[in-house]
Parts: sequence; structure tokens; C-alpha cells
Amino acid sequence: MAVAYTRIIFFFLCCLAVMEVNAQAVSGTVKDSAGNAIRSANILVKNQEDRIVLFRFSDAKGEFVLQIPDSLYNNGYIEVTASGYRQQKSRLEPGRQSYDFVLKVAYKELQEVTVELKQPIKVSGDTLSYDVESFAEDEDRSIGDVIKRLPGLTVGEDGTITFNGKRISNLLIHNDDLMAGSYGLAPKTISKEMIERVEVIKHHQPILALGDRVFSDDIVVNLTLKDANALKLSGRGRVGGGIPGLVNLATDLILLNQTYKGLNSIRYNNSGEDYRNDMKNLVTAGASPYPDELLSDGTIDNPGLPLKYINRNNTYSINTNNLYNAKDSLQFRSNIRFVKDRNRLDYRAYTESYLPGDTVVFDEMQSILRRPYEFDLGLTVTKNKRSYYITNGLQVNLKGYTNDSRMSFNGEDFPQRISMKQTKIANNFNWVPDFGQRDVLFFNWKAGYYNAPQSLDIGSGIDSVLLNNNVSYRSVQQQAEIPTWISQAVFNYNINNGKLLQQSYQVGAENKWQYLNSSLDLWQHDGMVTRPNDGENDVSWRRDDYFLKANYSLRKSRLLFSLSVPLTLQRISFDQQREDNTQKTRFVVQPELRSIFYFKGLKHLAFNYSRHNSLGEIGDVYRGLILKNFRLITANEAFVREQRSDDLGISFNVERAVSMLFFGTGLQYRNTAFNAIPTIEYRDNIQRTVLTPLHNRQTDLTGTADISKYIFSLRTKAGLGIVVNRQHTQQFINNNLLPFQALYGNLRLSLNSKITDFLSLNYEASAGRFSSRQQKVPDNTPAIHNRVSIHSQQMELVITPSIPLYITFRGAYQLNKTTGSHNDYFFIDGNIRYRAKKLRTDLEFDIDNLLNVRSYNILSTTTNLLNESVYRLRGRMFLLKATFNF
Amino acid sequence: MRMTAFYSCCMWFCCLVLSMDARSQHTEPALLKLIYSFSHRYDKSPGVVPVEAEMSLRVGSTNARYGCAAYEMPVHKPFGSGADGPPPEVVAAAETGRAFVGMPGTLVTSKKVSFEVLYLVPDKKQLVSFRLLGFQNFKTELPYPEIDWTIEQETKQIDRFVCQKATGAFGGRVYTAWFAPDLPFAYGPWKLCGLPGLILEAEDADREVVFKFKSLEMPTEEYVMVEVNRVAAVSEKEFDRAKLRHDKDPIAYSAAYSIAQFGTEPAMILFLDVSGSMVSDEAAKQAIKKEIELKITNPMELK
Repeated sequence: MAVAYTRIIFFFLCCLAVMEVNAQAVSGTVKDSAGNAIRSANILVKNQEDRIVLFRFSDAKGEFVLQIPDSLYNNGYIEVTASGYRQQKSRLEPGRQSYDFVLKVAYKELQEVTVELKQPIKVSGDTLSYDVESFAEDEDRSIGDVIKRLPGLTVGEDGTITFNGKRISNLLIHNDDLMAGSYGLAPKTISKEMIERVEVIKHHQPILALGDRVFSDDIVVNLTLKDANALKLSGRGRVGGGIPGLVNLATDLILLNQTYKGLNSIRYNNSGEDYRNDMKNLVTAGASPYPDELLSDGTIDNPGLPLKYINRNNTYSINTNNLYNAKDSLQFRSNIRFVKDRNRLDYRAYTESYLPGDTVVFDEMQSILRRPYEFDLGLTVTKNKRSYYITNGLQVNLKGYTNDSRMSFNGEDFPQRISMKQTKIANNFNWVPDFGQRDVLFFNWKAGYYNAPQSLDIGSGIDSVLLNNNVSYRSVQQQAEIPTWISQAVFNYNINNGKLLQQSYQVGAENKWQYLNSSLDLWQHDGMVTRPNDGENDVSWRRDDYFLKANYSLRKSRLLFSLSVPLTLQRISFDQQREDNTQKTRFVVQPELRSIFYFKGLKHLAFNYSRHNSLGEIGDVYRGLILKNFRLITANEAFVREQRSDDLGISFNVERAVSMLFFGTGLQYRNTAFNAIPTIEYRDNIQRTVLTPLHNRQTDLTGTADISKYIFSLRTKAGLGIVVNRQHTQQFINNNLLPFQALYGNLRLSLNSKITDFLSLNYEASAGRFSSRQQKVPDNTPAIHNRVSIHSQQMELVITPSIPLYITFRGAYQLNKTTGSHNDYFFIDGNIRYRAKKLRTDLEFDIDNLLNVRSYNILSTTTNLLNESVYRLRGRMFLLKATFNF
Repeated sequence: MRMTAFYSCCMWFCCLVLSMDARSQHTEPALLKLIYSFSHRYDKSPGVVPVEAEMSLRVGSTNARYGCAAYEMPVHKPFGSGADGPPPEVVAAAETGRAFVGMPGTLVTSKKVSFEVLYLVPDKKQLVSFRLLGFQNFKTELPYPEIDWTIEQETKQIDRFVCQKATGAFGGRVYTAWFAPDLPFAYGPWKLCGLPGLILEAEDADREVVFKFKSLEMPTEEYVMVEVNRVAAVSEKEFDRAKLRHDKDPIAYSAAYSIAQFGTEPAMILFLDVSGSMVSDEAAKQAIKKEIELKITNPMELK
């Protein structure tokens, strides 16, 4: 035992002795000539054959420690190398424990490998270009069919194209704006074979002279032609027929090349297709500067059903768009469009107005024959050069309708006729002068005239107490018009100093002259025509706004911040019957602030605040009576309505990539202060509204949350969304000021599932509930309280059994519920499409409303009103269409 | 025609990925670019041919990037009319992690050689992996490879350089590496690093993983990849979870992301082979089907 221990100790000591003899610890530093430590330098210990025996890397302080074997002290050395420095050697000296190295920069080597810091990637980053051939499927005909497939791009019901949720600013054809903003028809008619690429251009600046000097947030879609010199006319003809008595005809003629572009179309149908969307300007958003129509023949809204279910139409349309590029960047364009329709609408609307201790019921039933028409003429001349830009556009819009109906209102039958003839002439002039500087000046002048005289004839049935001293009369005629002249001139000045903070300024004037003329005439039984004392209006109105607006924006990597401060001097002057001139001048500031903070891990927080002041319109100040419809008479105190609103919003978004979970939530608050309130007076068959001065306030709070998740095992995307809204508002009804609280909640569930390669299923369910309750109710009266619930479910099944055959089935279920009323509906539609490639013909078979639902009820509630409308539907339709492409 | 479109699409995709590094603050020029001929016997079953591919290593003064050369798109080619630098929103996307610049198709690469881009920062002892699944880039911090190399006295000439032999164990294999002391960079192919000279060749004892020197150049307009923000930073475990789902059905995986993000399915399916050849639509679907069945039974790292 003892021997064993001795042996071990001996062995151990020997080991120590060997180590002591064979290695020697040395240390040192590596620095550059300036004395800075060089990190990660290679400390190589080499033998006489110049081979590395051992090595170390210097640490952050440039220091190193080595154990040098004794054998190396014979011709061994330490070599220090580092990228960008000259190597240095030092012979190993026995007994020396410290080796310090000062490395010199290797200029030559560095010059060889160092390059300037340039961007390695050159992208004309604002353009995203889709190759049509790669994306198009065999079944696609028009370029619109292909656009629907392009990721990020969606096409809405009315033809509006959006890119990643943002509405595009225009659709161009080979860089030209042929359609003048009403681009709905173009994607539907241009065949995919004519287009080479679909380009999404972000920050598009159509004005060459502004170039990249003026930041634009516009996204446009540009269709690039395959053959920019094509001379071949192409197009398509469609013939369709079906039951009951359905006809659908169309001819489109298209020629597109560099110098000339033409898209012309003639169409007719009675199968529910609405051509007015093709005339709709899909570009301009925001409020129209022109007044709304004063008179109407009914009190209903669109029921939210596809128009083809309701619209028993007879529509003709001619749509011509032609553009010519002359020499030296000069361009001429004409857009002439005409649409005429004749359709019938049957409905019944039942409105209950709850008053403290009373309920007024309006029951209207109407069968209307509507004859609308619209004519649009647009002529534009543009010179778009790098040095300057000048354009003038003239727009003439003639529009109107004559509607005849038989009304049954609260048990009384009477005929009704309303007609309107609108004339709108607008001119738009834009000029960017050759300013010769980095800064940019831009001038815009818009001038316009608008008038839409209306005439409403109603047979007896209107309250004789109010209008005719309680004596019955034969009929009433209301006429009204608001001729309007507008001029708006704005100078924009953009400062381009390349700094982080961007600035731009606007100065301008907006002037508006308006007249409100109206007359209310009663036809007595004896043939006499009388006018009530206050049965006419002759208001003249002038409004001048002078504004100076400063815009600032700041963009840093994790922060986006923009502030705009418009200072406006508003002046209003008006009189009634050439007397009582009233003037009002005020100065307002309407700041708008927006900021977004981006966090790591794909999260961002956005914040916005804005204040908005608005002054009333001519439609608020007339004193005489206007019979707006068969049950609403309005008049006002002559003063200017004012409104101020403050908007505050915050939102937060998260994206979890691994689990494919997306979440977003937001809160929006709005507080609006008014200086006037409509006072509503109910009688049995009529409602009278007068705008009276009374300060009141409305608050609105909305919370939203959306979550979406992909469930891997089910190959299904599931989404859940919730919206909650609370609104506090006040109503002045029959001399009582009643506060109301409205609550709205909606829960939405959606599932998109790809069951197999040839079968996919989309499902959406939504449950919504709206309630309105009177607040601060006196003890002895019951509160006015309304509730409406709408539940809906939709399912779509797409089957592709073989390539040229496509089958789609859609089912929609809706349940509308309120206290004591309960209606549910089930709609089934189908579409079967077959493409005969050789015949260049598509055969399509549409089935609409397969279950033949003939009527549809919709419920709505606002403050003290509960409305139920019943629409007569067209019923089941079968339509077979053959489209020949040439 | 179609091929051009694919490249446009992919370039868009890659522009997004790569332009981010270009603008980030850690950008440094690549001093050297090495190409290795790589071969890996990913399945030891008889009859299975080892995969062969070209791998690239870009070396900068403080970091290096390693990845499959075939998966690098010709991004240096100007896309559209040339403006200098990526567009503001690409930068914004890169720096803030928001806003997609449109990704028209989903790209699937072969499992045999991963799409992984490795980013090595020795001073920080950092090994970062960027990997792509469908539309989404993932960033994972991996354990830094500390290899205990034994320096051997044998040398051999590779290209212009005298290389010395070293042996070391990593990932369950024992590697022989040939490093060039004249190139004083402690990098090498894949995760093999930590020698006082660039590793020009390496192979494991069974010759199942082999890196051969192919070429070395001093690029003038290339950059070492740097940290990007437009990615989801995840743990290795999380990434493995996502990868498992992806590999089960890459098309469905991408579709899910695309539907959730853009509201549409990806319009185009592309498959990129290790040789750099790309196919689309039906051909891609067929190739991806084969990929799903492919098993990597002999991975580079044996655990």
C-alpha cells in the first residue's frame, strides 16, 4: 500500500518536473503604431522549418499568454499577423518573458482590398413588376383576371384596385392615363395577351418636372404593352341570354400603342349588371365641394345586397376613351361616356320613432319606375416635360333622372314624381413652371359651376295642418336648386435641402358663391295655386377661405413623424331674400400629427391626433320651408353651424412568424362639439326638422382587435375580429333634449381552407348587435331603447375538376332580429365556366338566387328610430353567356 | 421569358434581404471571397449519390459570411432603371421590419444543402444563422464553435498558398483542415473556424463532409452580410418547430403566411436546386413533392 502511494507521488513529481523543464510561460501585447490594442491578431509560434507549432489570438486588450516548449528556443520565433497589418517576427530568447509587438499598417495590401462604400444593389426600387405570362392562368381572359391573382393586389366589387390594402392612385396604360381615373372598365376589357407586365409603381410622380423633388405617396398600376407599336384592333363580343327574359350584349373595341390609345365599348343588359361603376371615378376620394341633393322620393338606403338581386334594370352604355400623344410631349385625351337605365324598385319601409311616452309610425310602400341617365365629357390637353408641366382639363357632366311612383304612406295612396337635371362644368388647370432651382413651385387652379334643379310633385297626403291651414288640397310641388360657382387656387412650395426634416408650404384661396332657390306650391281642389307664407327661399351665400399650410415630416429608421399646421381665415356672408346680411369671420388652426414607432421583433405602435373645424353650408341657413320628401319638412334659423372635432388614436401591431400569428389592436376616440342641433318635431304623418342654436357634444370611442392564425394540421387560416363602438349623442325631439348612448359590437370569424388541390372552401360568420338607449331618463317614464341583431354566414366552394372547367358555389345565410321581429334568408349562387380555347370563346353559365328568394327585410336603428325595410327581389335567374375574343 | 420573370421575382425577394445588410451600420467590405466545392453524403444508404454544391465564404475584417453560392441571386445586376441604392421603403422595411416590397412567389430550396447563411463574429463569439422558410427570414443565435485544433507539421500547397494541417473535432466528426497562415483570418467553411489562417480545405475522417478549395478572389463590390432586422429572431428550438412544419408541406406553409399577410395565396411556386437551376409551377410542385420525401439520415452535425 505504502509502496503504491510512493509510486504515485513520485510519478506526479516527475510530471511536474517534466513540465517545469519543457515549457516556459511568456506574455505580450500587440498594438498598432498609435498604441491601440489589436484584437484577434494571430500569435504564431513557429519552428525553424517555418511551421506553426502553436498559436493564440490576442484578446480585446491586445494581450496574449503562451507556453513555449523549450525545444523551440533553438531557432524558434513568434510571428504576429493580423489582417491589414504587416506581419512581425521576434526570435524566442530563453529567459525573456515579455514580447510586445507594434504592427504597421500594410498600406499596399489595404489598397488592394479596400473598396469604397457603395451600394452593392441597384434597384429602381419603386417599381414592382409582374410578368403577365408567368402569373396568368389558362382560364384568365382579361388583364383584370390576372391582376386578381397578383399577390398584394386585390380588385374590389366596383373595380377599385388596392395594393397591400392601400387604394391605388390610378391605373395607367403604358404610362398614359387613358381612363382619366374611371379605370373600372379597362382591366375588364383589355385582354391579357396585350399586356407584358403589370407594374406597381410606388411613390409615383406623374409630373416629370416635379421628378423626385416632390415626395409622392401614390401607388399606381401601369400596364405595359407587349407591342407598343401595335396597329391591330382587338376586342370582344358577348351574347348572352337567359330566363326570365334576360339579355346581355357587349362589344368592346381596343387599340393600344405608343401614340394612340383607344378603348371603346357599347353594352346593353337587363340581367342586373350596373354600368355606372364604369363611369365612377375610382381615384378621387374625399368630400365633393358641391351641395347634396335637397329632395328625394324615399327614405331608404341601399340594403347591402348585391345589386343584381334587386335591380330589375334595362341599361345601355357607351363608353369611349381616346388618347393621342403628339410631338414634344403634348397629349390630347377625350373621355365621352353615356349610360341610360330604366329600372323598377319595389319596397316597403316601416319606421318607428320612439318619443318619450309616444311612438310615431311611418309606413311607406312604394313601387318606383326610375329613369336615370348620365353623360360625361372630359377633354384634357397636357404638356409634360422635364423642364415644365402644364395641363388643362375640362369636364362636362350632365346627369338626371325622372322617377314615377305610387306611394302608400300610412294608409294613404298618392302618386309621386321626382326629377333632377344636373349640369356640372369644371375646369382644372395645373402648372409647374421652369423654376431652375431645387425647390419646386406648383400652381393649381380649379373652377367650376354646378346646378341640379329638382322638382318633387306629391299628390295629396302631406299634412294639411302644417301646410294649408287644415284644409285639404290636391297636390304639392316642391322645387329647389343650389347653383354653385367655385374657384380654388393654390400655390405649393416644396423646399428640397436634402435634410432629415422635410418642409413644404401651401398658400391658397377658396371662394364659393351659392344661391338657394326653392318654392313650395299647393294645388288646391279648385285649381288655384297657393304658396304658404314661408314656402320659399332665396338665399345667397358667399364663403371665402384663405389658408397657409405648413407641412413637416421626419423619417428616421425607427420613427416616422409628420406634422401639418394649416392656418385658415374663413369668412362667410349670406342673406335671405336680399335682406338680413349676416357675416362671420374667424381664424382657425387645424393641426394634424401622425407618428409611428417601430420596435424590434416586428411590432409597431402608431399614434395620431388631429383637430378639424368646419363651418356650415348654405343648406343649414334657409328659413323658408322645404319639403325634402313626402314626410319631412325642414327649415332653419339663419345662423352658421359650427363644428369642431378632435381625433385621437393609438394602434399596436404584432407579427409572430414562427407560429404564423398576426395580431393588431387599436383605439380611436373622437369628440365633436356643435353649436347647433336639429330639433325634430313629429306629427302623425310628418316630421319637421329645424336647425336651432344649442351647444351640444358627441363622443365616439371605438376599439378594435384582430387576430389571425394558420392552423397547420387543418391547412386552414382562421381569423377572429372584434369591433366595439360607443357613442354618446343628443337629440332634440318634440322640445325635449334627449341624451342617447349607442353601443355597437361585432364579432367576425373567418376560415380559408384549401382542402385539396382542386377544392377550396372559404367561410365567414359575423354577429353584430346594435343598441341605442336613452340616458338620464326621468323616473316615471320608460327609457327609449332599441336593439337590432344581424347574424350572417357565408360559404364559398371552388371546384376545379379539370383545367378548362371551373365551378364556384356560394351560399349566404342572414338572420335579422329585433324585439318582436325575426327574418332569415338563404341565397345560393353558382357559376360554371368553360373555356373553348380553339374557338377563342368562353362559355359561362350563371345561376343567381337559386332558392328564388323574393323579398328581403333589413333592420337598422339610430338613436330613437327603428327601421325595417322590405325589398322585392328579382328571384331566380339563369344566364348563359358566350364571349368571343378577337 | 419565364426564367426572367422568376429572376425578377427572386431578385425582389433577395433585394429585400440583401439590401438590408447594405444599409445597416455594421456593413463592411468583403476583403476575400472564397468558393469551396462542397460534398456531403447526406444518406449512407447504398446508391445515394452525395450532394455536391458550391459554397461561398466572404471574409471581412471583423466578420465572415458563409452560404450556398447557388442560392445567391444575381442581385448586383441593376433591376429596372438604375437608381442609386435601395428605395426608401426597402430601407424602411429593412430597418423597421415593416412593409413588404411585394413578394410574388414562394421560393423553396433543396433540403440537401440548407439555405442557411452563417454569419460569424469571432470578437463577440457570435455565430448567427439566417434561414428562409417560405416568405419569412429567421435569425437564430447558434452556439459559437469552439474547436480545439491540434496543429500538425504537415504542409501542402493549395493554389498560391502554403497550407498547414490541423485536426479537430466538431459536431461528432473529426476534421482535417488545411489553413493558410498567409491569409490571417480565423475563418473557414461552414462552422469550421478558429485557426490562425483561413481554412482552404477540410474534410472529416470518413470523407462524408468535404470542402475543397475552388477559387479565391478579392471582390471589389461585395459586402459581408450583417445583422438585419427584417427577420424574426427566434431560438433554435422555435426555428426547428417552424422548419418541421415547413418541411412537411412547404407550399401549404408559404400559402398560410401569404394568406395571413397579403390576403392571397402566393401566385408562383419556385424551386431552386443546389446547382442554381430554377423551376416553377408544376415542375416545382413535383420537385417539392420529392423534397418532402427526402430524408437527411446522415446530417453534417451528428448529435
